[in-house]
Amino acid sequence: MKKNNILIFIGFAAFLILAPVISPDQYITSVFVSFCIKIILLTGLNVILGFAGQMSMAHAGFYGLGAYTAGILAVKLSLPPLLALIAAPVAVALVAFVLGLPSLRLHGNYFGMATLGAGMVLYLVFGAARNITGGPNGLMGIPAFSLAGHPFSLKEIYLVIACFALLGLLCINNLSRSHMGFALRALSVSEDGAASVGIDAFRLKLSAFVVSGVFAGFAGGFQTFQSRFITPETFAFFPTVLMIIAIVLGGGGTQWGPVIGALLLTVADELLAVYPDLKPLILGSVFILIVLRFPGGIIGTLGTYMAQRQEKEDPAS
Amino acid sequence: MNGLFANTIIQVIFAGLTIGAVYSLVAVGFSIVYMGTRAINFMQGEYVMIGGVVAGSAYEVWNLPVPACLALAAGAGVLAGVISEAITVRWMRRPSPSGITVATVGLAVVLKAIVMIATDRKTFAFPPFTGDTPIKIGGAALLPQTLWNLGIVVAAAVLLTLFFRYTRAGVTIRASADDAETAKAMGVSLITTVRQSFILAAVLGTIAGASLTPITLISFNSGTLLGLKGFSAAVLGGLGNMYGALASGLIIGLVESIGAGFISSLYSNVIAFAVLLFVLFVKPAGILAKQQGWDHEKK
Repeated sequence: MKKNNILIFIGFAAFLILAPVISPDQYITSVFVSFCIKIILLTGLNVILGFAGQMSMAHAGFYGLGAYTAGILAVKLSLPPLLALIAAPVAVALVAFVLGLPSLRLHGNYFGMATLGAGMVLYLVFGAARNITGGPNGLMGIPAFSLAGHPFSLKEIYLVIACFALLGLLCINNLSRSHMGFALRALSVSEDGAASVGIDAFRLKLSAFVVSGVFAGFAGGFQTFQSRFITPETFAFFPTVLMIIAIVLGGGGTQWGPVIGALLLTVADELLAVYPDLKPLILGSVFILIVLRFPGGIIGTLGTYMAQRQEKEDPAS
Repeated sequence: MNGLFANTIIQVIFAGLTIGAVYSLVAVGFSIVYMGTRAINFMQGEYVMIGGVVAGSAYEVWNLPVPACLALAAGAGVLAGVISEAITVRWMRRPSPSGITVATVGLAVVLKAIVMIATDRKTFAFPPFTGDTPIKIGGAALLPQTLWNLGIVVAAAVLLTLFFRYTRAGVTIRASADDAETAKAMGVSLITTVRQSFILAAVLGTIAGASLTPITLISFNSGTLLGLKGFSAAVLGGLGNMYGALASGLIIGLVESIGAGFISSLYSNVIAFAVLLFVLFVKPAGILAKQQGWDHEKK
């Protein structure tokens, strides 16, 4: 990491850990919980969509699969919450692997179509498998998260989730600067070009897809134990679109893009809680504007702007 | 096999064809825009919703006769097509197929939100075009609306064939789909052909919506799932293949209806997407394609 980046990261980590601890308000903490879950979720989507440039539309489905895996194991099989939580990313990783095998052999739009289909199948099955998922009414009776008989308070589970989000950000930052990260970005620009310098595009994309699934699985598991009630609608087509919107707005393929995206979604959730009807209208309009006029997203546009300014100040270069 | 069972089968087939006709029109809309832009127009399902809401509200609120409501729905389609093309293609700084696809997703979200607020989440109904006295065929009852919907699909097939073969606009759309650069060099305005394909797709969508509303109620939320199912049909027929799309819509409708009637009505919605995955993994160029299309997208 560059020096500046390390400072920003430490500052962000301190803010994330301290802010809810200092504030006595339960509400603030719950907002931070949802912010951190969104960071985990979007960091995962950023790996396949931002770095690898593959339009995955199964992410809400994966998120749901994680949430329902944890929820069903805890409710129907009465597994200890920790085991249920760990099972969520494992289940999603397996499904991502099996789905990725055939669908990542498809090029361009076709991968998006396959993941769209898979996401819809998952969402519709959540609603249809009534005897195990609770159907459209949702899965109820999820226990609070506990470890060795000690039930976690909201602040305690928040700290776990926040540390997880920070750890995830660090991992992805390292990944993006590793050989794999460069290879992923190379193939997102040109798969043929990447293949011509000896990059095994299929294997890399598959790894990226599984990694993104692991993140979605953890996010789902945390969501389950945080809200203790899940319904299929949280994992429908529109949430997938929202996640893609957030990545595009924040800036795909950048380190801080998912954090900005998560921040935007959280702020939009809270500000528009009174007028939930306006949320799709406003987010959709901003999204169109960004796609049409600023394809680099917020981080990318800022970066271009800074680079241009630097060029002006430094005419020698 | 007894008579009762045979009647059930016929009934299920009629139901499948009625809804399948709607999927066909949606699928053909996807194919037409895909031909013109190589993009997937996620507005397609919302056109169906607009058609249903406009026809339904014209009938319920203004008490207009059925043909006038249909004309209004078609007019709304023209408008929706013009607007979608203007926003997702013309306003884009550097239009690309993936950029247009993503922009149509955003536009669909916005449009849905506007209709939700404007209609206050109301659901709309629309009467069958010519009454609902069933025609008896043996022991099974055939609703006139089924005939209407199938008739619209046949008419769409005939009219689209004539359009693409014999009119200047149709030929230029096909030419620019085949080879945009050459068509441009010959003086074809790509902007015009793209706009025409959006309008055509949108009108087919709103007509589909108006012919669906007699069967099921329509609200702001109805378009997305219909659109995605129609999209599955378009892929089954091979994206950009008009006849494939028309046939596949009916196939998906039938499979869905048979699944709901004989296997499980809970899982019937899953069927279209299972078909989509199966086609993509086995024969991504669609059922009518002559060769395997793994590299279809790469040319």
